Amino acid sequence: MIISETVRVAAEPPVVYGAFADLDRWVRILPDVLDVEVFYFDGYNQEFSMTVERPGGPETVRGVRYHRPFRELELVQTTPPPGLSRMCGTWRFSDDGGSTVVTATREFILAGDRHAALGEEGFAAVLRTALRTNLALFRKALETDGTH
Amino acid sequence: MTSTVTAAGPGLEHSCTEVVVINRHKDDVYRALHDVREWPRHLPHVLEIDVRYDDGRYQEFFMTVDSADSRLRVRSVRGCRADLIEFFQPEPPVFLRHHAGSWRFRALPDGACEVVATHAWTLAPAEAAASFPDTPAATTAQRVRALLAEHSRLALTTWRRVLEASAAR
Repeated sequence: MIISETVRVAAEPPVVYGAFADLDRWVRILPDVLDVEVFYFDGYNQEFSMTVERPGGPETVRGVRYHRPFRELELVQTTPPPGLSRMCGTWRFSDDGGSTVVTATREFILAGDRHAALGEEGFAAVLRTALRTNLALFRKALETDGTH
Repeated sequence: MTSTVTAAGPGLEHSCTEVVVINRHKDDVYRALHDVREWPRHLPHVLEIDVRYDDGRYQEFFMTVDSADSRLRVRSVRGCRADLIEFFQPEPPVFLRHHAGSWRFRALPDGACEVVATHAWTLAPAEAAASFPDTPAATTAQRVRALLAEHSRLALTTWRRVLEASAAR
């Protein structure tokens, strides 16, 4: 299933793209991100791991991102979160009169019975909420509190 | 086959490009290079493929290859799109800091397929100088370029031989 969420940020695309591209900033901007480690980055291909706080305890995903300044970041989690066999997506950045429209898209496939109670639609709703929250936190960091 | 040097990608200092025409339909060529599990059946120097992730679009695998003096196990991450397979080695050979590249596939009017292989890399200066010291004939950078270009040429010519032979059967 594919979902997407959009936010408008009052900053130009290079600034907004830069915040999403730099994984060190994720730890400062998103309170549930406990740790990030970048294993490889050549300016385009990036391999990393990210540990996030979840109700059942910390979860670590491993993934790859492709950097296309200042228009797109593409993501695949080669070690997806528990209960998923696929998690990938993009952040797309478009200029809108000096502001930036960020569209985050995610494609996922459930695996096993970890999310059986939620089902695909229920999981999509949870993921949409998480995406909206994260986009709003990035907007806040970029527009107001300077944590980026 | 032609060999050219291209501008390096962002963040990568060096690159080379090799081009080969394979007398097979583009879809057959793409499928063969995409289906990494089948490589040991086609390529004698590929001893084993250990796939860690493969959703068709993205792949991560270890490849064990028989080289001149040892067995090498390398990890590769690939992004596969229509007519394009991009790859990088998260843990490149010791003399490289980064190693990435792509294969582009183009159908030719006569039904053959042109494959353009690009490799891009950044040297690990000290390790590269130790492994490939300057000689009167070539600098460290030139020696590494020659090595990677030769590997790329060998891979492409091997695929051409394998795919054209299987079509002739």
